[in-house]
Amino acid sequence: MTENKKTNDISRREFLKDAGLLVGGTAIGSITLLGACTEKEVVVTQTVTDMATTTVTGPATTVTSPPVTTTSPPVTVTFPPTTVTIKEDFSQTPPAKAYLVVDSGKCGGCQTCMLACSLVHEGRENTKLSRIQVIQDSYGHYPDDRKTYQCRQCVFPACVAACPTGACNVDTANGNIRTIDESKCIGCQRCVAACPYTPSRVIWNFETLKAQKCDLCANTPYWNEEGGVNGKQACVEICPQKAIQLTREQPSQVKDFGYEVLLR
Amino acid sequence: MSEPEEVTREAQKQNPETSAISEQEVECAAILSKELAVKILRKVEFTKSLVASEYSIRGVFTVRIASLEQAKDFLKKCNDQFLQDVSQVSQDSVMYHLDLHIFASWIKEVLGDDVLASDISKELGEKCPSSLVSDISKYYKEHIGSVNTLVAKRLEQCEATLGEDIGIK
Amino acid sequence: MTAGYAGKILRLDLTNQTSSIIETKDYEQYGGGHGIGSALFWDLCADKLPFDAFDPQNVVTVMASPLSGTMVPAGGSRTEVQGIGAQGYPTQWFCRSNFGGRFSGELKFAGWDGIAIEGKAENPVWINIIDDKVTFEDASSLWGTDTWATQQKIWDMVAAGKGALGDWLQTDTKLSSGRTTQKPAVLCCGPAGEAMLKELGALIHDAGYAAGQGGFGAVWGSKNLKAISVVGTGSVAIADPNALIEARLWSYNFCPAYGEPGKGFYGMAPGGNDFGAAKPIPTATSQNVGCMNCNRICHGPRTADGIGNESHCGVPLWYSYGGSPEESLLAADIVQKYGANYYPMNTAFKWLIALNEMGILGKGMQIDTELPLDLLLSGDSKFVTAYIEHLIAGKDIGLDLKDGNVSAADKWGRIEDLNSGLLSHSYWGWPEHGYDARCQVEWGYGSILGERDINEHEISFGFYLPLIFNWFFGGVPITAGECADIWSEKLVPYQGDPMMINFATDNIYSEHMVKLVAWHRHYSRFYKQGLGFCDMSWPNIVNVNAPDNIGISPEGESKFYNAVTGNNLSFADGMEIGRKIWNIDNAIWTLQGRHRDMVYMADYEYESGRGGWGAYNPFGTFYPLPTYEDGTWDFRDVAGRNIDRAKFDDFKTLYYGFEGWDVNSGWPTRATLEELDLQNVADLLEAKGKLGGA
Repeated sequence: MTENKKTNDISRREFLKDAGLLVGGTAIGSITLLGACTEKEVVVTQTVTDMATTTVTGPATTVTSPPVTTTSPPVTVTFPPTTVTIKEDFSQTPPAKAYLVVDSGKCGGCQTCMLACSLVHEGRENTKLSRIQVIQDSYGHYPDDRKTYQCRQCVFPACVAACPTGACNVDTANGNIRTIDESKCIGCQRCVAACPYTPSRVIWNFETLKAQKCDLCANTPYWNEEGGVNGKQACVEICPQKAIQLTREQPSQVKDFGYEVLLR
Repeated sequence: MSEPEEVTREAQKQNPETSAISEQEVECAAILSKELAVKILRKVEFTKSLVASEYSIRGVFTVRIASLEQAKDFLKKCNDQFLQDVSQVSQDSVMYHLDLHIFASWIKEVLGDDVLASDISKELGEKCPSSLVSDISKYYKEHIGSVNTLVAKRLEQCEATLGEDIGIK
Repeated sequence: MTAGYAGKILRLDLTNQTSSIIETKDYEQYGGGHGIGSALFWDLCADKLPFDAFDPQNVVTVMASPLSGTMVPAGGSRTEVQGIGAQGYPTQWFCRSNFGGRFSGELKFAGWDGIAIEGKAENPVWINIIDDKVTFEDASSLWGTDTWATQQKIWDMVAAGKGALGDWLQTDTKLSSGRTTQKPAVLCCGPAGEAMLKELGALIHDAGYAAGQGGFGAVWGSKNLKAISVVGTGSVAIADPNALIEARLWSYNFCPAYGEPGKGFYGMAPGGNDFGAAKPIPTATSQNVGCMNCNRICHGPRTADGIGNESHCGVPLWYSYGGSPEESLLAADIVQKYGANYYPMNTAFKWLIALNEMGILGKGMQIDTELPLDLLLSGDSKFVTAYIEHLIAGKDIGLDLKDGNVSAADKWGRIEDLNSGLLSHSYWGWPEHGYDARCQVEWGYGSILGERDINEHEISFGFYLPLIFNWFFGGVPITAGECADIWSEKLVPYQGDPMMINFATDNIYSEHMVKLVAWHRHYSRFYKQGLGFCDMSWPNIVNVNAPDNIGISPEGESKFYNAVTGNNLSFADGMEIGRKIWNIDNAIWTLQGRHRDMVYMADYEYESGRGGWGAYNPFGTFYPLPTYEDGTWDFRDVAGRNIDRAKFDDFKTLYYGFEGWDVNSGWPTRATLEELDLQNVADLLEAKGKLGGA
């Protein structure tokens, strides 16, 4: 196992961009807290081990909250590190049989995909619980003003590798979707931090205190439709711009080339 | 200012694309003095400007036409709107309308160009006898191109008449 | 708590800088949005009326609805703003405006159904809402800042500079702390509002979402309130999730799918500029944007050069004097940044040009001004900046214009221009909004019987339908008679009367038109302005992009509302709530001094005739509408007719009688109010001596 711990604030995206290449790397997670009138930033440092080996240490997490108001003091909280064992051999992980691809330049920014995702999975509306995220800047210049961030169903799933309990797993019964069995999730957030993409495509459900991620709608308790690799996906069906599609061809894993496509 | 009087001039309805223009050319053999050309080309004061309409997603608004040159430009837009591919019609599209009979009256009574007014009236023939929108739009489409051509020709004649004195308009 | 509602309304006392909670359950009977806003206004300050817009007693409500933050198409994004608006002249009526974007959604996610703003801060403040945490923040560094910079600064302050296309942000340090990738949704006034420009002061959200009309930006300015920012991480409960998503997918039958050919300005395919395959959609340099949950994505695009971002409808079009699209877009950005309502500028500029050409206004003229009118005539957007700056500074003719165009006309002794239509402000001093009140009378009547131009487009499709199709497509794909049949069936609870859409001259003062106006007012108050169904989504009744040309109403509204809330509301039930809200609004106007004798449009509506020249008629020379004449339905041109004063007066009598109001005064009556369970409203009116007789 190699460790290359860094504590300065670097981009997770740059550092961990290619998940499959991240062997023996270290994940640096930066979490910023919402407050007012502050530019103070919180850096969360977390160690992720060689994904082919069997132990994982972390996270050792220190979080400092900026003042929520101009008069309230900052708060610092430190969480101890933990070490767990990973039992699977991920070199044999089969690829998913379907993937979501998006055309961010075609996206209308309406967030309906996010609301559909939360609705069919959670039975309630909350863009923050959506497993697909659309981020935009009203003052940006097209096409850099908007971006759709979907789970890539990575060929080498760092989230699965990071899970200490097997909750985050490859669902061989459902087209090898990288998914999370919430009954096994212990809420350690390791998968959230392990996702090498920014923002993390593994969603922290702060209401249930479980991690969750895109399952291509294989398990949608609030939607009477068959989902998964051979079924329908709520975001695909609902997008008025048809800017999200399902493909069964494995996209290029290099940067965004395979996942950010033209759908016009 | 009262409503314009209706221009009533008997005209034989003929093929608008050809006969009107050739007839107009005959009419325009009439002597066009520099004085009249200047008068026709002038920009009229606001209270004499002609009301036309512009329709878009935000509703209908008026456009003020204060000269024959402006009228030509507006008529061209009126005409061009029918020439576009309907697949190009969009939320950003604008529709234009100018009452052609009132336009003829305006040319006669405000600009003082009896010849052009007469030619347009001849081209138009009787007023559209129906208030049905389908009839009105058909009538409008039939005549708008020819009227536009008549106005363009008249502008050319005025400018040719003025020659080097064009600047005095 | 009923699903769909957050359960609480935020009450802000700016004077004491305190916040408190109002339970939403007490107001659920009014639906949401406008209904709750009117009821809140009534409860919080109606007993103190009359007062003007800048009085600290004025309560401004900013309301979401049970559908906000849900995937109800075109229903999840509107935010309704109400209060005594600054714009009206001579009376500043209790009025409304609304805007799209994502504010109401974030508000709901933060756990709030709306905000009621009272009092006046001693110094400039902005409000920071992060879920249930509400703080008053010093806005001294934001005061004087344009709306775009204000929002970006607030993003940076709230998100510690990490809000741009970035990472998850947490609200606190706990595992259960909410997280979001979204920027705070900010609503703010700009320099125009700070300067309390009564007509121009607007509220702006993101780059191009505005509560433009009403002067609420000026009201915020008067209250020293610069902005409200909200971040929400909570959930909106949905009673029947599967029904909701199925309803949403069903609604796609009412507009063409992306890329498919569609017809008409309204109800066309998503993306806004798509009418077929010929045009590359989106273009290589821009893409339209949509409000939260929208099915239409009709807001103006963000562009490669960032000019004109998000500006929509008339905003990127109005300043077209020089014919330069770029100057028009620059003008759009200018008004958005100043937080300035373009509509009164649109009418003002035409008026100024006319007065200049008439030799009355200009340098050295009777109304002497240094304003660079040459820039206006050439369409240079720098004129827009100069004009607003003059008003803000109160210099030159800006001093006269800062309280509004009609006010300026009054000061200049030129009310004749209002009467003639040269200054086209036909309703309560508000600018004309592009629909001919004399032709499309439900627009005109509804506006003058209310408080502002109604600005409700869904019925206007009755006008666009024959216009667009005869112009561009060579014929309407539905007859006027078929339209009448569809309307007749759908105008619940007055169904079965096709004459309600007969716009023939002999029918526009009839009891049929009374019913149409009443239907429209009640419908809009509950469904459009209450629940927040957007008016630019699709034609509700006759929709040529839907199967058999049949629009989504009235089936759609109830389907969505019931899926979200779990209630079993019929369309007619909603109409009755709309009637109730309309009665509260009229009660408020009554306390402000409204009387039927005041209810008349500007003179030009009665006198200006048709186009021609010399007439100041601001309307079109061609206005097609469905009519029934000589025993047949057809689309006929009704342009140029005038409203008959006496007949319109008779119409008011019919209308007030139909509403159960006092026909002599137009005031609400006890019988009607009690029928609507509004005894408290009747009691206050009676105490104030304003209760109508039978």
